[in-house]
Amino acid sequence: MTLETPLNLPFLFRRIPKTNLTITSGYNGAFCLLEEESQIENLIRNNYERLPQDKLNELEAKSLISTQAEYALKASLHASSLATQIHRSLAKPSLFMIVPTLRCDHDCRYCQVSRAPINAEGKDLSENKIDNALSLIEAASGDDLKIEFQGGEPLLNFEFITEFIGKAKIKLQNKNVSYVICTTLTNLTTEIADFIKDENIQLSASIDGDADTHRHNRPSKYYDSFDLLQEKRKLLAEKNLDSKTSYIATVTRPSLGNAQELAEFFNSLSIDSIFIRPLTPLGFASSTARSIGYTADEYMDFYTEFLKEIIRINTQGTLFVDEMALIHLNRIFRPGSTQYVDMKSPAGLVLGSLIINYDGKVFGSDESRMLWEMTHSKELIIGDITLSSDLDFTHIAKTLKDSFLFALPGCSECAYQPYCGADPIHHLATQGDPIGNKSDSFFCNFQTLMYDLLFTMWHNSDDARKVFRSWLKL
Amino acid sequence: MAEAIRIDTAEVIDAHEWSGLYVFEKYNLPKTDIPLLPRLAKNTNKQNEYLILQPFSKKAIGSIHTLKQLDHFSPGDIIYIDGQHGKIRGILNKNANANTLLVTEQCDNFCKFCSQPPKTQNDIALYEKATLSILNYGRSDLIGISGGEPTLNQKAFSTFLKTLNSFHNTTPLHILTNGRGFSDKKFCNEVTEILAERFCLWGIPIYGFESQTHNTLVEADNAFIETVSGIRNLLGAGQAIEIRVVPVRDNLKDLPLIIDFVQSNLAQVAYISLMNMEPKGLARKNFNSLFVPQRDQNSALLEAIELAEVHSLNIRLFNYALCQLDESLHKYACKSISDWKNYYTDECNTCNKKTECGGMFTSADGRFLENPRAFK
Repeated sequence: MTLETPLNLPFLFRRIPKTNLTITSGYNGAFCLLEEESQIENLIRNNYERLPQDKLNELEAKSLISTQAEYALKASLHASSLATQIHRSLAKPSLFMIVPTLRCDHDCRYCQVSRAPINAEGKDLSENKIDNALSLIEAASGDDLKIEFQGGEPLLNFEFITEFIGKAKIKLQNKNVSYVICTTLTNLTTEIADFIKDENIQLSASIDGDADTHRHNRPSKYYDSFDLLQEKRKLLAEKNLDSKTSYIATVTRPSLGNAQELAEFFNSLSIDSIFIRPLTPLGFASSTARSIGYTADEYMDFYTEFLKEIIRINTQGTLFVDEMALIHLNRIFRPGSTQYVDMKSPAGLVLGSLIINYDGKVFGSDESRMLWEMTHSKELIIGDITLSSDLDFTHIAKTLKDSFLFALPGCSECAYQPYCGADPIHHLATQGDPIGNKSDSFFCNFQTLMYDLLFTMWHNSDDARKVFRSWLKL
Repeated sequence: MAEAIRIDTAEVIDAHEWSGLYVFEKYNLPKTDIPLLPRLAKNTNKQNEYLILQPFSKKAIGSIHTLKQLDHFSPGDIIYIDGQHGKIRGILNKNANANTLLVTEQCDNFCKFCSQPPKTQNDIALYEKATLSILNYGRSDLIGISGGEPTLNQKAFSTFLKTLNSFHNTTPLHILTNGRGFSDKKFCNEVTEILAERFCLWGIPIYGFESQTHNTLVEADNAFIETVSGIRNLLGAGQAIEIRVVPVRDNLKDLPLIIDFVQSNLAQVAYISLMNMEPKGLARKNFNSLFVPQRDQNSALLEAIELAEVHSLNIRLFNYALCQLDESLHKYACKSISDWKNYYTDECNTCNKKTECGGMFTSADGRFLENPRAFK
């Protein structure tokens, strides 16, 4: 590409703080990491002759710059990529969450609106609503879907789950359905374990850390939550259900200084992956926020150490996946591939997921349900299976219209736009506006720092790159 | 040295007047000294006889006594009797690992490594032969359509597909094309409409990440832009695309950039195939300027494959002998060389990976054969 002057195609860029790297990215999802301050200057000012040949080749192959002869073609390829990405996002929801009960035997510190006392009345989804729920799911879903039972603690209404799955087998027989139960595991019995095995159900269980951490975050009035969890994990192992169980860890403030210990603890459990996540800043009081909450910067300082330790563990020969990092790596290297509802543009609200609450009300995401519990804003409701299996998108459509990242202030110029997602309910809940001010947004700050970290590690650390590649191969 | 022979041919005699396409059938014919059907072979090994049927009419035209080479053929195969040379050639063969029909020898690219250099004479008869063969073949396996450039004569190409449709034929096709014709959206739409009820995989070459390298290798101006627009249009119409790359000296170091190009611009492709050059035709003529020993390609192949995997692109190696590849690459290697143009050397016959390996091109003989090393 020396014969003629190249041209820039539209690209986004960001200087990654505390590094000498600048990331450039295109609407086609391609990125190129420039290594010195001068490289981005030279690129922007069209001083191509001052850029190293390998960077020029990379920029050209990825259609971030182009020869004049190929410019029209490349521009149309960008347009096609963007159209494909939008088309793919305007899909039918593939995740259907159901809340069989709001009752729970835990009193987790970060959960106040998603639970009711264990013996509360009127907090269960009645079995006579199953037909309507299935009609709704059948009509709204595509060929492949996941049904996830959430809570409360769903195993406290196990009869609902068995009846639901029995009926779903008939009603949804022409679709590929997978099932997940999100559970504390503490109500697991031999009978339930057998059912889970027979029906090939996945379990998603919470474990926040070692005994002290877990007990602190996830106390129960009725038993020692950590000891009982460990006992139930033994039952899972006896029933060969280990490979069917994945683990989620929610981080609270007291853990911030223990990143390394936490990673080592999870690895000691002989599990092959962990999904570690920050608190959802919804659903608990502000007084609680002061004791367990943190800023995105504080969390990412913790997470950086945590991920480094996970990579060290992998480098020493144990395959142990950090699912949160992997979700982001998938977004980086396989734009459009992940179904993770928080990382979609337009938002995954309704387009990615639906949730049927214990009272029969239908929402577009788990966060919408929580926000409804806090505010009772009718606009969040898109259906009610106690009345019919129909859905009404009047209000949600307005929110979705404002969730295309390339048209959002704070996102339209962000280099991570091709990889990120819109989370209007988060911003509605925290800032009172579905778009929100991104500089003050936990979601935005968290995602930005996450991508800063992953791109930097990908570029600077041979070990991290090797480990990331091995995860992406799974 | 083991001799490179083609297994898809058999001898035939006294068949001067029988030249043409036939369907092959096996029947127990009466053992008699007075055959009521013409005998096309002298070999009088009195066993089962094979019957040769006229396409469409299913009228018997002659019989052949068992010949060893005929074991390769099965009932329903399409064969071609070349009376002049006394040969029976398999056209569509149930036992073959791949069936490919040549529909034209004309092309608008002039690839430096083309194994079947383009010709200019009118060869529409090849399209007729291909049509007849597909319609009479007794199976619905994937059939390759190759050239020349099958879409160069756009009218012949769409008529070919329409004719198959009119006989309610839905044979899936693997069409090897340079894709340039599909840069014309009208042609692309016309063809994809005709193909609405048929699965097609389009094998389309990209030899560089930008115009210069690609156009130089295919010796055609503007080819890169037209090919890439063609792929874009086909993808837009929901077609399945296989990108084919032939690593040679000019583009070997650019393989990762070609992967970057595909991921960034054409990420919806179904496959990327890295295809080792066949030392035949123009590749033989330009051998010295193009050839990179397979062993010296390993690091570039590995880098390209690792990158493709990061992006979840489906990548495979074709026409590489396992003994020339690093072990880490074995799982990507397809046993790909068509069985009528491959052979195994004496060394290969002592190798314990022989059954997983495609062996050598028949054309890879003498100095074109890269020193095979048996796995023991």
